[in-house]
Amino acid sequence: MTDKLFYTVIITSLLIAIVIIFFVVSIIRYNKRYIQLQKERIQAQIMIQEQERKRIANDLHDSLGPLLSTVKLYMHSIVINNDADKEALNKASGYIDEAISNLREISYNLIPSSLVRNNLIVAVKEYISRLTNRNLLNIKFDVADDILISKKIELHLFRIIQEIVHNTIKHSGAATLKLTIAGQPGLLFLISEDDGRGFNLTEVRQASEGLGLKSIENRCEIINGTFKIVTTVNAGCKIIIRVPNL
Amino acid sequence: MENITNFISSQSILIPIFIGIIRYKGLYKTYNPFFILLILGLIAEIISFMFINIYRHGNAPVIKIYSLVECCIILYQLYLWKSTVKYKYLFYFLTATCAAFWVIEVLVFGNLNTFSPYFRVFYAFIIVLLSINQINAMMFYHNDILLKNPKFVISLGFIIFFLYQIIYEASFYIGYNKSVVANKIIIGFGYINLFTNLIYAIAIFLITQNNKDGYNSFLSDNKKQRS
Repeated sequence: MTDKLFYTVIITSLLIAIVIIFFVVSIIRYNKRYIQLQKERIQAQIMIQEQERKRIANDLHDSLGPLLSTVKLYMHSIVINNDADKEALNKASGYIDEAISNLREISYNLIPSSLVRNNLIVAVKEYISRLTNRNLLNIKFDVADDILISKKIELHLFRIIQEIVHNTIKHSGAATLKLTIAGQPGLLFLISEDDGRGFNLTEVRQASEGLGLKSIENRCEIINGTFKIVTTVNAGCKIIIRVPNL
Repeated sequence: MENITNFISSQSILIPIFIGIIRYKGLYKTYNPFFILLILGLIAEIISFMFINIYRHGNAPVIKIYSLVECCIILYQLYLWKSTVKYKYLFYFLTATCAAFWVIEVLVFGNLNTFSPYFRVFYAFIIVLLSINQINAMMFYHNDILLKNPKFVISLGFIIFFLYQIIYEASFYIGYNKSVVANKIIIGFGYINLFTNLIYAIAIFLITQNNKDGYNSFLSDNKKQRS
């Protein structure tokens, strides 16, 4: 009787243990699938966003740009003797120049042509020189000459850099931003360091204010990267991003 | 007296059946196996009662046949819900395995007139695992409130009932007169039965409630969806 009781209890306990283990394993399995699904959703959203940006940039560049240039050409072909009319025409021509320049800027921000035609390094250098011309921020860009960056991650890295620069200008009050791209076998590091006012990372995350941070996080996830933010109030901000570069 | 008390507590199955009959028009076709299971459960209880109290015969044949039918219907129900028994062949495999187990236990090694716990433990174990899988899948993929979802509620009922069934069968195997704990577990089965029947009643109510969400009047195959 004791044996029967013992074995029955053992087998029943074993079955219940299997049920509990199955429950835990099943939760982990579904959680993994769910994370993968979320990742695919974000990836699809970002890809759609990029395609739409590209389409708008092409439309602006190919149809609106030439149209404005043609308008300017026709305006210059008008023969005017009246000084007042001439001045008005010159003003209009100036506004058209400004419109063309703004259009190029918008088109560039949507999708930088240098990134499509050349590579990330050239695109980032061009982007920095554009910003430096406007005296918004002193940006130092440091990159090894022999570094090779996979085409698959270039656009995402460029967007991350854009986001970092945008956040630094908008929120940090920094005078200098240092950007570094460094490579290791199979890996690529993007390091940004500013001398701004810094922030409390936990508070920003809890208050769901960090939309820019979220965007960086999403981009990192897509390219299987990870990132670390080191910041405290009044001590600047350092972001280290590590991505596989195959 | 104890038999009559057990019979009355087992008749709590009438609560979900009544709700289902009253609101039958609102029952989705996908829940038909579950509703049929409840009706078969009631029939099995009545026949068991008659076997014991009128014919003075054990109810082992009723329990054994009902166990096989219950197992197949629940597997089919879980298959219809898709997320648990994802693939057709897995459903066939599980059903065939359970049926083979029943045949070997009842017809090869035993007979219909004596109780044996193995098949009842085996299929209870399978159903608990599948129901856990169903619940976990819903936890991650459903955006609505889970407690208002009939699939979730029914799966919860299955887990509670069949997990207890495993312990109950083990206690029965030991013998109610051999251990005080086993005896208490056997008595407790009636209360668990009552509790799960109340859960099923809520589930049936939710099934028919969900059908009033307004979408159905705009679905062209609405009539086909109902039994």
